[in-house]
Amino acid sequence: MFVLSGYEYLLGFILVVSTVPVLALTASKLLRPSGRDPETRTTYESGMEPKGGAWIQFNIRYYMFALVFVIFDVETVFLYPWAVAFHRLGLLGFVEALIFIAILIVGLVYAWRKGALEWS
Amino acid sequence: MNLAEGVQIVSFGLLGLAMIGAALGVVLLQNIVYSAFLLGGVFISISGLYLLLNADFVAAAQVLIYVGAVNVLILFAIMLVNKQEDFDPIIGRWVRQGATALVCFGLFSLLGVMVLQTSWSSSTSGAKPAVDTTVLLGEHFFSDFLLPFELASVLLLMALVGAIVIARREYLPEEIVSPQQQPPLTLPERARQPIAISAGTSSSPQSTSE
Amino acid sequence: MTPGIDLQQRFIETLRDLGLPQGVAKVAWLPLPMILIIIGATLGVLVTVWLERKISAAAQQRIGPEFAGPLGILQAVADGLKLVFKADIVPAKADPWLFTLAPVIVVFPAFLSYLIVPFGQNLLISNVGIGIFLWISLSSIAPIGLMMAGYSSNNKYSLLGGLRAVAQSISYEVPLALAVLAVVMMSNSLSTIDIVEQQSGYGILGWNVWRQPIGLILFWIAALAETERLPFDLPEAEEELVAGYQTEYSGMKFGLFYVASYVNLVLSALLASILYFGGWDFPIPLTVVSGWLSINETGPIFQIVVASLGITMTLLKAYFFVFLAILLRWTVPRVRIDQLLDLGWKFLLPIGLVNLLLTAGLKLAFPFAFGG
Repeated sequence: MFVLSGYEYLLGFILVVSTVPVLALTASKLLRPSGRDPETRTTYESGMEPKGGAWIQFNIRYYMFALVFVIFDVETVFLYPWAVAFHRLGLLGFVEALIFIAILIVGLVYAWRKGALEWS
Repeated sequence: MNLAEGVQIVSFGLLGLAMIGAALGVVLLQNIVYSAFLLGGVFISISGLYLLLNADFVAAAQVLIYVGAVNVLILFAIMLVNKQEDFDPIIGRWVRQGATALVCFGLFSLLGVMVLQTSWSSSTSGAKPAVDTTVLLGEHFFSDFLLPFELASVLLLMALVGAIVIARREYLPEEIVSPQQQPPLTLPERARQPIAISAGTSSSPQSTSE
Repeated sequence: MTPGIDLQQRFIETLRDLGLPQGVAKVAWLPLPMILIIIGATLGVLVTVWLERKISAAAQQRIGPEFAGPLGILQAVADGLKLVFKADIVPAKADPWLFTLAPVIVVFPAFLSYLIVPFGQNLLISNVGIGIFLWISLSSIAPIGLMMAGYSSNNKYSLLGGLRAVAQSISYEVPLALAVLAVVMMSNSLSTIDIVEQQSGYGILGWNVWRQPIGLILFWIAALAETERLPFDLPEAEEELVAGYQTEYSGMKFGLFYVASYVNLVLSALLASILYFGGWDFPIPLTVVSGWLSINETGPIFQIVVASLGITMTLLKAYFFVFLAILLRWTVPRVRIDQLLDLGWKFLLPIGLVNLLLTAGLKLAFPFAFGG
């Protein structure tokens, strides 16, 4: 039994919005010129001949930021119910959330000290 | 059955099909990058199923965490080790695949038996599903589920510390230069073809590739 | 507070008077506001592009577009039409499927987020329970599309730009969420309607900007970073990365990226005005105005005036933020990637947490002033 209200519009809007890129790409497909010479399809590398592919190994620093992000993303998700129900929770809710956030601040400080948030 | 129920059943079927199809793609496709992107599709389908179960907050959180964070992490990890190399064929590969299939099928049948043997009637006939899910979640988090809630933060802290310890080894993979010595950088440029006068200057190789 | 115009109710009742059943009438209503909003969003993009070019020109003491239509207002339409007629070039080494899918994935959540943007009491597509959280979670899908674009182009600039775009986007998502959380806490609800309602009643004095000044700055910096506007446009920093993940894109696929970035900008501006500037709320409470003029508040003409005033107010506030974004573009130099990440993680994130806890403490101390 589905009791939530307003989500039929979400479904409808998903259908309506998905027509936007389809329409845009089809319109351009019908109107644009085709049959280009193969030279235009070479990879752009500032006018040089492309050297090697781009599917190569990459920088680990991006990965560190993604790791820290996962943790804090989960934290914010936990805080949404707290913020919405805060008027019913009172002082106790404040203290409990303070502990929750404090533990995660320890994590932030650790990541900071260990240099996980450094670019170089 | 009215219109709304029909729409729900159709959505459920489509979401289920999309989820199973994408999950099969994750497992069966050879290109690991395709698998990672399809995993995002699996997560989104699951979020749709949550929404059908009246759990709107969980559905949005599923998209936020699994698609927005976990899938991005997985993609970064793949980009990190994304080398186009040919692996040596493993001897007796089909034996391993067969064993994997056996284990998976066993788990699936176990779950199937459990689903069939559980009496689900008690959970559907009882209380009316809540509408204001986020507020209720908050109240539960800070009353009867307080300990799990606080432990979740400890768990997150442990995950963070552990991940940093593992990821911050002293050697960073990108600093390892490829073993064969790179030749000093040259400007690789094609020998110019003699250009016919009528073609003009615009057909030089540099400008066409832009 | 007057309930405002409920167009949906009117429409359904009219159709039922014509002899249609309730369900059919509702289904007939469903697509109307959606198509209207999508057309509105597209028009908003065209106006923003024109504004951007005109204001940039003014900032650099040029004239800007002037020949296409009066004051060059049709320039953006001409640009868009040009993109439709452009050849679509897929690099030979690229992955054609992912290459086509990437702009779709980027543009889709941008438009879908308009579901929860209110222009009046009942003037939004749907007042869903998770409201603003839907926007936060939908906007987290776009990085997947950026990564897909960067990877599938098989171009070094693209891949670097894509990775940078994702790193930047995820770094500023947490401060953005923390800024939104503080507002949510004051209105006790995630619904955008409730957030505006909570600010109404006292005119300009009741708006959240007075109670959340830090939150507003936090939100706007994070929103600019999320939309990759200068000073945070590193993913497409043209001096280093040509055009970042968009390097290999041309024609309509590039157009989709372009539209998505401007839709995101207008969306962020709209949400900033809803979260901090009272949405459709007029600076002077309308009940006071109607009291002065002794107008009947329930009269149909008053209702129509209120509704159109609400839409105008929302758009004015939103375009004020767009103006601010364009001015910032020509005022602040681009940051480096290490400065960008430092700003996100070591400055905005701690400030966001402090702001949230401060709001919670103030709410405990002064429940009346902070939403009870």
